[in-house]
Amino acid sequence: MTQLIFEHISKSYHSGEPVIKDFHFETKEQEFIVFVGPSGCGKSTILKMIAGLENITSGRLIIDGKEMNNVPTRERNLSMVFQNYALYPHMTVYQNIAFGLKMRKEKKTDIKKKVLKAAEITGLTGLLTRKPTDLSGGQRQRVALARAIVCDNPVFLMDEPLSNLDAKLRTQMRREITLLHKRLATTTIYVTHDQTEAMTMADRIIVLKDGSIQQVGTPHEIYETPANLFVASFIGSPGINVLEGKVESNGITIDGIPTIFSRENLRTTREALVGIRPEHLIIDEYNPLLTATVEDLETLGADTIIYAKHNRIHLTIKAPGLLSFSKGDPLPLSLTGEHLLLFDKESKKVIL
Amino acid sequence: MDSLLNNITSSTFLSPIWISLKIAILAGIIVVIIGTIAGYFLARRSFKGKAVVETILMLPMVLPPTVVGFLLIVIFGKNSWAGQAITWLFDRPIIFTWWAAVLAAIVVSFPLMYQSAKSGFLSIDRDIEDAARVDGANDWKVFWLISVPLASKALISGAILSFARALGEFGATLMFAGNIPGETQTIPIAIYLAIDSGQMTMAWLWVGAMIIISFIILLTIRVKE
Repeated sequence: MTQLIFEHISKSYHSGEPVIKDFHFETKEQEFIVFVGPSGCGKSTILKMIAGLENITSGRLIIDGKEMNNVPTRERNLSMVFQNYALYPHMTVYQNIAFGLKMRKEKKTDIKKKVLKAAEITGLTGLLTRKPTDLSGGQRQRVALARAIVCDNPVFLMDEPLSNLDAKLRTQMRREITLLHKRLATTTIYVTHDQTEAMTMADRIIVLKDGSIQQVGTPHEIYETPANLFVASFIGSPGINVLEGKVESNGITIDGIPTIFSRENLRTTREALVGIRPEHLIIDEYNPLLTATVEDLETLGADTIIYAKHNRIHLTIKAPGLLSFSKGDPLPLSLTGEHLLLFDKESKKVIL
Repeated sequence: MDSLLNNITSSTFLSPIWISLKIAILAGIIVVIIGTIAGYFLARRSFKGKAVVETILMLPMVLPPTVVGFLLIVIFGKNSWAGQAITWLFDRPIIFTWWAAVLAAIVVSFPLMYQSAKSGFLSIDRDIEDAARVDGANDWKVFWLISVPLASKALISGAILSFARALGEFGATLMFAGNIPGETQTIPIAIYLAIDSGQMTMAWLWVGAMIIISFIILLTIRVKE
């Protein structure tokens, strides 16, 4: 039942440039929020401010209707999973999980009951007497999760918790964390630089760059209607194609190639950047808009990524199925008009 | 052989050893406490003039002991402000007392403890301390339950090195605490005087005692590691 409110929060160190600029946002109750952005965008700093491990320079942080700016970390009633797990290396798994309960001076019998339950949920029952150094990366990750869930706190913070795991384990833990969130019904803030994690786990995503919010939205909204070129480029794999274009009354010209697509509300001629997702470029032998030349292929199994060139422009195409092309093969392409994204050349903001 | 045994059991031989050990143990305990606190504070906080403070704390390690002794006399001597305060409190000045030898030992061995403690605390992953804070620990509990156990190796070796340094202190002790048999005459001072007065047997015995004690101390560190 916990809501986090960020009221125009800014952060700067000493007299330097602000690292967080006017962060303004409200979570809903029990929401899974993902902060995503490249390294240095300030996402971890915001997480540390929520935890009280970093000071807030200006603005207000409100948790459950109470201003938290000057409340010490230990009184904020939240749980956090750190990127490198930050387990207590001198304690056993049991002691690691029990530490928070001990700090709250809970009864020994209650502590035991809760630790055993958390260990069961995270699959650590057989490992309680081990020390963290005797565990694999995945097991350490589970201890960090168990330590976070055992206190039953209403707010859950996660700082890139999966970045140290191998690809397979990462996919598995992603699913487990999502299920855990549904089960615990906490308000969760999850920080990552990985757009796949953001897309697959979030109720809502906040895309950050240089300490400013670029866009807030559901994974669907972020992908389909990005607010600017940065969001469009950052989300999506492989990345979106960005081409020089011109918007005219009779259609949009892409790199000198006139298309039939137009936007009703754009009557004036103007230069623009055209964004096309790789899956929206379609191999079309019958009615191609252009014929590119194949440069390289990546076979993913279910899909094939084709890197092609047309005149001076490079294109990335994601086509379903296993395709085989050789370098230099002609590649007839067309595209579907409703998926074109237009961005202002100067401001890089989306043109509606 | 009998005379050797007599020498070893004589109070002339044993007195400097007990004095040295008592001084080194007490100085060691005090240095461990203040060195650990200073090391933690300077490993965790940053403030204006930190570099100057850190340099001053390390200074006794590089200064000649006679300089340290001179400064102790100036600061705690009978005519100084601090010296008079001590005289007023304890009815006697500190200079040329057993406590003066302890103070000299503290000053020269402090940098070793402080340096070890600081690097021990610096090597701790800050996220672990932060995790404890998130888990509800206050600053004292973070320090006592997380930081100290994680820096324990550095703290133990710092303690042993400081103890050894306190045990070997000569110059500052002689100047500030003097050479009072049974009160401030430590092993290093006794050795110096024995050689000066040609008592080679006694010098050998004390040298042997010093080597044995130092060997045990260093061996403890090696085994601990």
